[in-house]
Amino acid sequence: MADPNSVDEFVRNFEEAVEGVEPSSLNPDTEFTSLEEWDSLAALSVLAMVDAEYETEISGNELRKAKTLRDLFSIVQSKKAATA
Amino acid sequence: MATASVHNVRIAGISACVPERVENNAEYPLLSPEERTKVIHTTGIERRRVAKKDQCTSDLCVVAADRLLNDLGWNRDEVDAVILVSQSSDYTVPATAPMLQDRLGLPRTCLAFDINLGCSGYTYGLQVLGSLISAGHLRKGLLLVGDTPSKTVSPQDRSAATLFGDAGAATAIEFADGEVMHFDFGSDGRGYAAIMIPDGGLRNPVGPQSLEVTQIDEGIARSRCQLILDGVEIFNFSIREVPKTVRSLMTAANKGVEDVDAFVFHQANFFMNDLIRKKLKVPEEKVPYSLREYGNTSSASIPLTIVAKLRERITSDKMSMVLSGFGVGLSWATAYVETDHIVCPPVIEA
Repeated sequence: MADPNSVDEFVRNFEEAVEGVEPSSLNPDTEFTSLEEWDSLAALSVLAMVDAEYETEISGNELRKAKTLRDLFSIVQSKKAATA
Repeated sequence: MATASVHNVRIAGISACVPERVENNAEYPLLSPEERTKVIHTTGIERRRVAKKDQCTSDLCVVAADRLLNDLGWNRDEVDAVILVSQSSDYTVPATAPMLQDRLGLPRTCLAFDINLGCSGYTYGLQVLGSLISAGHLRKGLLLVGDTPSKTVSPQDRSAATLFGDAGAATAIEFADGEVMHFDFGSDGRGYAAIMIPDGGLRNPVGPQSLEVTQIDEGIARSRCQLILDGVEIFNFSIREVPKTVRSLMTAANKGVEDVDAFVFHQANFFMNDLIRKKLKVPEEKVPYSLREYGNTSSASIPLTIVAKLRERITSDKMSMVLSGFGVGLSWATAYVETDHIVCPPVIEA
């Protein structure tokens, strides 16, 4: 069973959420904003995934500051910790 | 979170009016053909109505209200209240509703005022007018809602220009023994900047700098007198609050999804609305959309969707509906209403 709190699982959820991204094509250090598939609609898909899988949200500012998928995952984890 | 019931009021009729001019998102110049296809698919918006230069929200509302009053056969002297919910008034001062009293031939004894709300405005307006009539002193009222976002959204802002359409709608409400509407509503002013026009009020009066068009980002150029839309904040807000308000309303009204014939949501965009629908586990066939033809029409989106998509049923049968408006403010209001063979002419073009 994959650990839902692992960064690797987050990467898989991200790959699934963003249309056009191949499974297993990304890693935690991927700079997601440089992906060809990254646009405002992809951003909303990731927010929807974060809501569904992690029951939290990433703000517009946080999204703009994050570079890698690991950055995004840390935001999700810190948000979850704050609301736990 | 506030819930409230309003007793002894019913919706007697609903009408809607849109401008004749159509703009197609498939022709929007700031997006590539592939991007246009993707935007249309995701937002669900193919076309939008755009008002003429001299056509205001009030003009669309007058057409909708005139037709509704005629079809209802109401004596105009009996109308005790007219409320306009809009963020595109004719003038900064005075309010628009008193002029509508005159233009619609309503009596001078009529109560008239504006409410400054957008996407949540229809359900707010129902609550306010419903409460006034519920007390029994006023017997009949008109709720007019609408906006002309085409006049305030920058055509060079690809984050917003393909989303909004212009429309006005009229709803007739009257005293009716035993009828009841339920409401749940709320506000979160922390998010005031998520949808805003920064200049033109008295906090930031219009100056020469207000009209300068600035390139904000790729494909996004606008002035400080034009609408800013922070899609991420709105998205987070909507998927957080709307399921909550709908659930708490249905608990207050003691209704389950199976008791409701239609869930009419503010028409924001298909991707977000459908996510909300799934979170609430509402079957697709209970959720009508007018997005494809009309886009996001602000406070008019709920009545316009009812007129465009539920007209046949609402005029010929009883219906129970959950109506949910949410957005600019940030603000939200959800209503449970039951209707019985109401008057509802087809969407009018003007």
